[in-house]
Amino acid sequence: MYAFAKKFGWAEQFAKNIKVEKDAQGWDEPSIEDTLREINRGTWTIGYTGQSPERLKLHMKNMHTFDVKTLKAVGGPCDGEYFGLPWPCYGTPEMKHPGTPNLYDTSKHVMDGGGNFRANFGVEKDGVSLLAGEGSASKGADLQMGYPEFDHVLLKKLGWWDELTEAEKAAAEGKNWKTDPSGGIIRVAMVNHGCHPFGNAKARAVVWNFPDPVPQHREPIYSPRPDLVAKYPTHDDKMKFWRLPTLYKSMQEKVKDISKDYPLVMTSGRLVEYEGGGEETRSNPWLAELQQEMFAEVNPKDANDAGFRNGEYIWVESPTKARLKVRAQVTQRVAPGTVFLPFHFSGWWQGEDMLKYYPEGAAPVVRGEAVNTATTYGYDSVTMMQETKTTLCRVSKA
Amino acid sequence: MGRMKFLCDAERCIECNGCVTACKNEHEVPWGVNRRRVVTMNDGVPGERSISVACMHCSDAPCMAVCPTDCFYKTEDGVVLHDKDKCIGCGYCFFACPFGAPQFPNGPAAFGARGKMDKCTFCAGGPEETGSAAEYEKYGSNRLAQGKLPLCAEMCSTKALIAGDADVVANIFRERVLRRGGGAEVWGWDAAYGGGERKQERKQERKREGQS
Amino acid sequence: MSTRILNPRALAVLAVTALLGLSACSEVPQVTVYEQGQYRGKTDTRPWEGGEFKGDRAAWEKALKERARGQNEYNRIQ
Repeated sequence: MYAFAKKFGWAEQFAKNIKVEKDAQGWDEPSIEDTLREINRGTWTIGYTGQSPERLKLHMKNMHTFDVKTLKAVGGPCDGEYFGLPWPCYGTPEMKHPGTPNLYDTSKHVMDGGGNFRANFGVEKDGVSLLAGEGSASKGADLQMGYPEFDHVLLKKLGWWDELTEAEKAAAEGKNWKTDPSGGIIRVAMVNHGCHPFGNAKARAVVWNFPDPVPQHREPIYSPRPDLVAKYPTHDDKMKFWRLPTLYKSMQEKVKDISKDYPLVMTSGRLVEYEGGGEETRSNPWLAELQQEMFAEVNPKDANDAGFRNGEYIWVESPTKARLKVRAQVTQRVAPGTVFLPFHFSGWWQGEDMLKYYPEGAAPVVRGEAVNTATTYGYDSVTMMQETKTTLCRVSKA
Repeated sequence: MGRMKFLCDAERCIECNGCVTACKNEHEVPWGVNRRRVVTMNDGVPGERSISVACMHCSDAPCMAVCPTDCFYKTEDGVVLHDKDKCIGCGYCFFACPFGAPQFPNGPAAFGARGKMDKCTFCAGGPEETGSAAEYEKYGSNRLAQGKLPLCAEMCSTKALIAGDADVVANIFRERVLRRGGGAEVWGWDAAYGGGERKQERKQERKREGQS
Repeated sequence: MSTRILNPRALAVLAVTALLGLSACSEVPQVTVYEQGQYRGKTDTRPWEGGEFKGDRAAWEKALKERARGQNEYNRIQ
């Protein structure tokens, strides 16, 4: 990485605060400890600031002093800390936050790994307070009610500003707990007053900025049940969704009777020995050998109705008219009406091996139909994630 | 020293094939040769079970008995090994073995890519100088001489596969069975949510809900 | 080959032995007793001899036992 940076001329900036050392092979390597220190300096919000290399090394050296059930050190140099300083570990390393064994645990003091829900969505909505109720703060907190996240204004209002050192005051002026580079605001809130720097609010059950503030059932665009489409329709079309026109209801209406031709639910998923799209896994002969062909799991009932046997080639066709040529694995693992395909294959296109199009030496050892050749239109109503998990299909003997 | 044995706990094996891959990696076993494989019974049916099988290092090994060139030998620790220079690759041991352990790799040479017959060595190498290139090429690495157990067992993620002196292996397994109780029944809804009385209670609850 | 005539008692004994012999013909032994061959390959060093244990059998056995016990995950949570 450093050699890469050097080649492109930004090595100096890349290792600005990091010592560069020679590794065993004589390469220039940025010091791993300094790299962690740099991470520590910039991750106040997510609580990766307390895990300094010195503290982690101390934990490794004194592993035997930790209780194996609670993961908490009993006595010794790490007394009261949780093993490995589990995230989030707030504040500077010097503040000695013990790490958080369980999130949102109000039965513990914040300096013992306790906490509460974060005030991250403002303090009120439609005239209702979003902050936590009376008496719901973490154990030993000076503020036993809901409170917003800490910043310089809140500290001054509470009269806690003068607990900062002069240097901390200079750094924290005009800042909040996330942007104060000294960590002073976090220290005063947590160590001196037992309060969580990110505030104390209610858990949010109504997500008012989502299309469905509370989750409700909506039939997918490609539904196997036209009757349910009428009862639980999807969202209206969106003209501008992440800047793009995105279809929901009009698409669902258009294909609502498609299950007559494509009656089976096609779902996709993972095999234990594979990773992601499988391109790397299938390029490793040790792993490629384990599953050498793309297959579809089909229930014996559906297989018998369609007239094929275990191990034969079949066509899996989806509403886009895409056709996948795969081996049939006839198994009760899937229920009648469901076809399962692993998503780890690629390199075939609608029945044809694309081997000749790979640059020499670049083809994976094992190739097969990619399941996403067959998946259909549809986008998540919040994130716009594409629907590549499931759709409808039909199967026939190849 | 006792007798080296493998044990595969079918209640724990998740058919991840990690043992197979570890073996291939450790010994550079070529494509098509499986010193170890995972066998699944009743695949896809509730109650399916998998076990990982390799050479069982039999006390009275049929392969040894039938070998026309007597190329097999047994170490003091009960590991069944063979001399690939004496082996003629006839496959008689393949007939005799109840577990399909002997492997006969394809290869460019008359007798295959990896000698004539290849099988699990319990990571104990073979009759060449310990740790030598010749030993590695013919038999794979010799972990036993390094004071280590077979890699397949040592890296098993669920500790379904355990290896070592039969006494120690038996003790581990006995303790495990005592602790988990239920034996082969530790599977499915009842194991997770309770059968018997609790199941009855749930049924009655559902009934009440249905009536109201 | 002798040409001596057998007495009747000897004849009877012969007949009985012949019968016994014949009956053995119809009952083929079902259990083969094989003889273990002698290993004819190269000699191998024992695991504690060749590698890093340099002949210290006790140390090797200890290492292996420890390793085997390490497979018991209950040891880790006690």
